Amino acid sequence: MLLREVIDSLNLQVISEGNLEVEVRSGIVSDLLSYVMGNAKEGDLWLTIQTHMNVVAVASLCKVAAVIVTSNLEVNEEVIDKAQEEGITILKSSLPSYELSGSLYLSGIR
Amino acid sequence: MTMDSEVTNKLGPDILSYSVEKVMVRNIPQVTPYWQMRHIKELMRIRRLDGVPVTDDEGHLLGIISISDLIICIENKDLEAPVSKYMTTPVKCLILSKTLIEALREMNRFKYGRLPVVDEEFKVIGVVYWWSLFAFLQEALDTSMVVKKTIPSEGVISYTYQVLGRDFVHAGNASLQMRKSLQQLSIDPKDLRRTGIIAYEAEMNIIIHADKGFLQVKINSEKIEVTAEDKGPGISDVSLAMQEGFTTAPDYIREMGFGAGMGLPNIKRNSDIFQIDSRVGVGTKVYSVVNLIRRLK
Repeated sequence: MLLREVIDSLNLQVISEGNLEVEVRSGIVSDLLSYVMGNAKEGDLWLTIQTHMNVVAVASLCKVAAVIVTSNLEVNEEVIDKAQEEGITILKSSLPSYELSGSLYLSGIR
Repeated sequence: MTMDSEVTNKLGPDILSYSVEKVMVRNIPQVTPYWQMRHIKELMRIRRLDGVPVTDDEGHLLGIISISDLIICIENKDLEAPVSKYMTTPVKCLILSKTLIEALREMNRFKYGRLPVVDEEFKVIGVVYWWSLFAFLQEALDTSMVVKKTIPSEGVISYTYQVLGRDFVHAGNASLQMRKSLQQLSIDPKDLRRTGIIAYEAEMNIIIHADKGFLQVKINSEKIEVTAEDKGPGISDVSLAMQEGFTTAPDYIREMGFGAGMGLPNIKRNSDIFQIDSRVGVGTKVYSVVNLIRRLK
């Protein structure tokens, strides 16, 4: 499934746009940055409630397809600017991580 | 031996004519006069702010409520009172077109710790705090983010990056710079990723625990060596620190998703050779080697 299709089907808001034509196969849910670094696979969707600057660094390091900030949390402008600079896609969802991962799983991202 | 070093100087000589926009803090919560003082107390505690502007419902500036107003309120045991009772008004403010030097002058002249920034309609768009000004100036004047590129011997390139303790705003910059330097070489993405994780975790360890340190990477045709060395508290029990989940990081660091006790194990897992040497009260040195999948030409 292409990232663009995931965004459309789950009503995600794009707050920083990187490459939306990448193939998404799996995902990771964690708010511990070290855990993400140790376990994320390239092309994963990363669901988190962390919104600070280092999320961009970790996302770029792990080459995740996108970061999805859940529970409608605010991401400040400096973080968005940095993400754009690094070409990292940040998406936002009003759903909490648990519910969103359920929807993603049902849509075939496993 | 040849050596060239680039000192990052992002700001240049005319930093003082920058707009106050560069130094103001955005996303300041909108406080209205009918908030209770106990909410202000919580807000200041959670957001670690020493003062916030008070506005009407449309966001127009009315006054400011600072930690000194809060102290008076607490002395009066009056935390249920509305903000309007304790806020300072009228309040000095800056319009967006003002420059950095004008902000500095105003704050110094009146000994203010903070000044709200408003647009032409008098709506609050941010606050210049003494610490945000200070952080900006420090960064402008600081030449410590030195990136040094050296060629110690034939076929070896080395980069050194300075890392400052507790600097969470620039956290990850040294390892990001390192990764960018390495990307110019034809290193396999898997090796690049492992090196990136090692460097990032090592950098975060310095930021979380030490006062300062440096991150160095050396590349030859067969391997990448990463050394992270700091002046810091040192580790009293290295084998305990190597256990996944063991941490001594304070709460505010853990809230950011760091300090979960996975840094050193992560570094070790990604290294082909891993050495750690730590002395309490002196500092810690972590050395990692990543053997390259493909030899570099």
